[in-house]
Parts: sequence; structure tokens; C-alpha cells
Amino acid sequence: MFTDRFRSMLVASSLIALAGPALAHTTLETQQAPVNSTYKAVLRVGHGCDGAPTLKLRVRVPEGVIAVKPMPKSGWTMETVKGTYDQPYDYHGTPTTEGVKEIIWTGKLLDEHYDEFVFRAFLTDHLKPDTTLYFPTVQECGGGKADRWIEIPAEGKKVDDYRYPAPGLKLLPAKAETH
Amino acid sequence: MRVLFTIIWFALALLCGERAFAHAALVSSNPADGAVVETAPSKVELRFNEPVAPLTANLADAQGRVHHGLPVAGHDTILDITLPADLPLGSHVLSYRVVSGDGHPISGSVVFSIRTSSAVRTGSDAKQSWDVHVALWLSRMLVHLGLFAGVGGVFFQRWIAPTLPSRKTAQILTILLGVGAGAALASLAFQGLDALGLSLTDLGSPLVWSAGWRTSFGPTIAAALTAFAVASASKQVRVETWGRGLSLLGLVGVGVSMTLSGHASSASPQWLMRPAVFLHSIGVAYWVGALIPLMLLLRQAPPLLALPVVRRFSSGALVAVGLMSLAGVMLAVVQVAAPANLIGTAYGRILVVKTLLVTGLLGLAGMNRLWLTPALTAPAGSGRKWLIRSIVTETALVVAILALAGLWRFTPPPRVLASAPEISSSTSVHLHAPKLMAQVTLFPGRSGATRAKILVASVHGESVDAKKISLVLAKPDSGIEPIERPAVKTGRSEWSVDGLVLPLPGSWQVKVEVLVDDFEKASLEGLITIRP
Repeated sequence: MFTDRFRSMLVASSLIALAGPALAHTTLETQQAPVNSTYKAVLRVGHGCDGAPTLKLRVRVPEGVIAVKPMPKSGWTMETVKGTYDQPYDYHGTPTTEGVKEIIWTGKLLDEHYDEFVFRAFLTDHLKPDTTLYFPTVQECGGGKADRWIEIPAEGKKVDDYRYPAPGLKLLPAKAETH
Repeated sequence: MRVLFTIIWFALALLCGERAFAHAALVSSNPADGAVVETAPSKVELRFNEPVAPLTANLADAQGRVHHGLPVAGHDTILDITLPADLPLGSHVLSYRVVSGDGHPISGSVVFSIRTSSAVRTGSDAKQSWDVHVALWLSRMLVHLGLFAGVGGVFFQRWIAPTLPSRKTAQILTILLGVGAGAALASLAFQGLDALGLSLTDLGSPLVWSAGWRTSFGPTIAAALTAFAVASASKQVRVETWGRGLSLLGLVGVGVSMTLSGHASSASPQWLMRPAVFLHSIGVAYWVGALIPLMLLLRQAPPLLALPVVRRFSSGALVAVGLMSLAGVMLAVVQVAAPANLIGTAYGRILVVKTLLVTGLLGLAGMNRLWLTPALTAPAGSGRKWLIRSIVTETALVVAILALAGLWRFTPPPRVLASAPEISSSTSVHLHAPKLMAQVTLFPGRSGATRAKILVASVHGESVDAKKISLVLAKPDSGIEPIERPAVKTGRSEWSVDGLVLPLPGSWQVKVEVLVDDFEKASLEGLITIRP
């Protein structure tokens, strides 16, 4: 019975594997977006750390991503760490030199539950299209455990080669101005 | 039915999203990773955080054998892996490869030790019980006595005194050869106990014997046993030429046996040290082997018959003692390295006392040659009595010297202390990543238990204050899946991992994962070669 059920599981999961990237990790819901646009990031957290509940989620905002607005979550406290950007960016005509560099949600998410963490940000046109932008995310759990989704694939490697890849966003060329 | 189940599962999977398809992770194992257990377990239980299906399980045991395809029974999140029977004492690495619900293979290793971690095999002998050391010292002294006095004595009878066979001498030589051979076998077991860090009560375990055999002492004992056998055969053979040939072969065996292990033989330059040890041992065997037969011969035979034998020995002894002393001085110079070490180290102090005793011995020998041997010609003189007394004293000195030299087994020579044995026996690899570099060094660099030191720096050579470092070692070609160990910070940019067990020699994949800060991690990968 066990093997039967398992075989079915494997068949099913291989089909799912074909359908999209591995769903095991903490990932972004929308995995591609054009530069010079506002992006709504939805971070999906599927499980705790080795069975321990998630108590904190920290997201590092990469350089070139500005005007970050995290969405508050009921049951979770939210804070941000602000800092100076490496260079000034133009945000709809306003020069911007500093902003949110890290978002921290504190609360509790059991291993057997799923949740999403949302923020909105502007992808400046300093970002290079056709590259992947990574949002390193640290999931801190009970018992001092932590899953660090911060691995950025080295040249010639795939995301699949890593156990804890950072959530990635494929950058597309900027859309032509329509208004 | 199965198709229906698959469809339902598929639908559920889609509905539940990631929850159902997270990567599985090993939650616990029994025996636990790194555990030391009293008796060999019959199985290992692996517990995962979600259902998994087994792919393969291998065990690399403490003797470096790999058992492939162990039977695995799975039920839901738990896998039971049946281990081979009669596992030896020491550390074992169990590697598993499973597939989790999302179809991703997951692999890893669990290290457990039976009774003793293999760490003691190569570690310090600080924990060693003194009784094993005494037994080892005594047995080795008896082996040396058997080689020098026994095999050397047979050589003397065949080459120097073939005209004066003596039953008593033959009996004593038989005893010396027998005791030597017995002590050789016993010392192998004591060497095994010492190597494994066990006590005398563990003498019955076959592992102890094989461990002793696998040390550098094994070949020495094999050569010694051969020398004993050849010498015994030489005693039995009636044909004179055969007897002589075999006794010479025995003498060569003594030299070979001594060159195969020991501090001096392992010193460099090898081309100089090994021949020096060989000549030194042969010289000793020629001289020491003559003492007992000479003594009995002088007692029993009339002085006029004894005289040509003594003369013959004496002229040969001049060459033998010359070679022995020359080689001995050379060995001492290399081993002691600096004159201050003569007093400053245990090895040096033993050498000083040994040299004093050998000087006394040389004095006696000179006296025998210059005055007492010529005195044999004087009719009814007291020369014979004095010569016998002198030889008895020489024999006593020889036993004392062998006892002293046996202590060297437990005192590393200053040469070794100076060059830090850790460095000379370690193996190292330099790893590079875009921003970081790391130097991983294993002490010792051979299979078995080892310790890793990791130095991390930026590519510009600046020190890096990492938050966390872990070391991952794997040897997939031998079925050993990644063994992951956290490193402990031991210095500014120095980290170390204790209690590693690498059961097999060869090329291992090494990976250092450096958590630079909360959000930045670097992976440095490479290959490291482990000596047998």
C-alpha cells in the first residue's frame, strides 16, 4: 500500500515538477516583471524550519529597488530598516537617496500552515533586463532554527543546485510608455 | 484504482500548493548522528519531517569497506535501514538517498561509532592506559632480544663457531627464537590496542589484531617472524652451506624488520636513514648474537680450541661495531636535530643514557680484544674467567640498552616535534569564490578520524568575520553522501570541525558554506585528496 501510494505521489509530483519550478522553497508568486515599473511582491512561505514554527521573516531589499511599501498583516508586527542607497534614483521625477533596505515581519506561522507576505516596490531602470533579481529572505523559527533563503546561483549553476535559493525575479525590458 | 488515486492526489497537490510538496529533511536518527553506542546496532532508524521513499543506503564501515544497497524498510516518515552483521568497533558512515514528495532526491550521511570513535586511532594517546604501554614495551624488547641474540646467535654458530657446536647454546637459541616469535605476535595485538585506544581486556577482539597489523608495525612483525623462521630452519639444516645461507638470510631479515617501522626509518632523507637503520641493526645482531654462544663456548671448550673462534669473532666485530656506531651516530644527529634537545627532550635523555651504556659496552669489548683474548693463550691463566665475566656484563648491558631503546616507541624524536607532525601529515585544499577564499586543512590527511581547520579570507586577503561556517564532505563515487558539520570559531578568521570521520581514502568533494551576514552566503567548492 505504501509503495503504491508513493508511486502515485511520485507520478503526480513529477507532473507538477514539469508545470513549474520547485514549490518547496520560499518563493515569489510573480516571478517576472519589467524594469521601470511597480512590482507587487508576494512571498510564499510553505513551511517552517525542520518542523519548527516561523517566528520572523526578514527580507533584504536589493539595490535598485526603491519606494518599498510593505503590506501590514493582522497578527504580525512589521518594521523596516531604512538606509542610504548606493546611488540616487529617480522616482517619477523625484530624486531618491534613501529608503527601506529590509522588511521584518514578526509573528507566528505553524509548520503545518501556509502564509503570504506582501510588499510593493518600484523596480528602477538601473536594473538590467534579462537578469534575475534576488530578494534574500531569512526565515527565523522557534528553537533558534533558521532557514536562510539567500543562496544566489553562481555562474553556470541552476537554482535547483541549491537547497536554500533566494527568491528570484526575472527582469524584463521596460514597457513602452503608454500614457 | 491506482489511476483514480493518482488523479485525486494530483488534484489535492494542486489545491494544497506548496504545503504538500516541501522538501523533506532528516529530523532525527537512531543512533543519532555523531553518537557513540556500546553494541553494534542491527539497524538505523531515520526520521524525516514528511513521507519519503528510499532510493539507496550504503554503509562505509570503520575498516573502510563499503556495503552497498542495504535493505531499507519504509513506513511514512520513518526509514529502517538494516545494517550488516558483525560491524567492527570504530566509526561508521551511513549514507542515504531518498526522494521526497516533490520528487527531489535528498541525500545525507549519519556517522555513528561503536564503543570507540575511530578518533583514537589517529589521535593522541593521552587516554592510553599504562598497562598497554608496558605490555607493548616488554613484548617489543623480547622481540628485539630474539632478533639480536637469537637470530644473531644462529649466525654466530654457523659462521664464526661452526667447529664448536654446543647443545646448550642450541637450546638457548631455540628458546630465544621461540620467545621472540611469541612476543612478536603478542606485540601485534598490543600495538592494535594502542592504535585503537583500548585496554588489555579487549585483547580478544579480532579487530585489535587486524588494527595492529594495519599499522606500520605490521610489516616489521612479518619480517621479524620470517627472520625467526629462517633462523630456526638454519639450525635444523644439516648441510653446512644451506645452514650458513639461511643464517645469513636471517640476519638480513633482522635488518629489514628494523627498517620497516620506527621513528628513524620514517625520517628523511629516506635513502640515508633506512640503510643506516639496516646497518645499525645488523651490526648489533652480529655483536649481541655472539655474546651468549661465546660465553658458553669459553666455559665448555678448552682455551686452545676457543681461541681461533674468539679471534675470528673479534676481527669481524671490529667491522660490525664500526658500522653500528657510525650509523648510530648518524641516526642520532638526524633525530635529535639540535644539541640542546639531548637534555631538553625525553628522547634526547634516553639517547644520552643509551650512549653512556654503549660506551661502557665498547670499553668492555676493547678490553676483551686487547688484553683478555691474548690472555687466553697463557696456560692456566685467569684470562678465561675474566673474559667470561666481561661477556656476562656485556650481556646485562645489552639487555639494559634494549630496554631503554624500547622506550623510544613512546617518545617522539625532537626532529618530529620540531616539524610538527600535524603539518607533515595533513592535507589541504584552497577554495575560491568570487568574493571569498578558504583554506581547508585536515589533520591528519588520511582516512579515519580527522579534524578540519578552515581559514577564511576575502579575495584581497582581508580577514572575514563570518557568522556561521559549515563544512560538507562527500564521496559520491563510493556511495558516501554529504556529511555536513558546523564549524566552531577558534580564531579571528579560523574555524575548526572536530570529530570528522572519513572512512575511505581518495578524492573527496569538499564544500565550505560561509554565512557572511544574515543575507549573504558563499559556497566554496573543491576536491581534497585523502591518503590511505
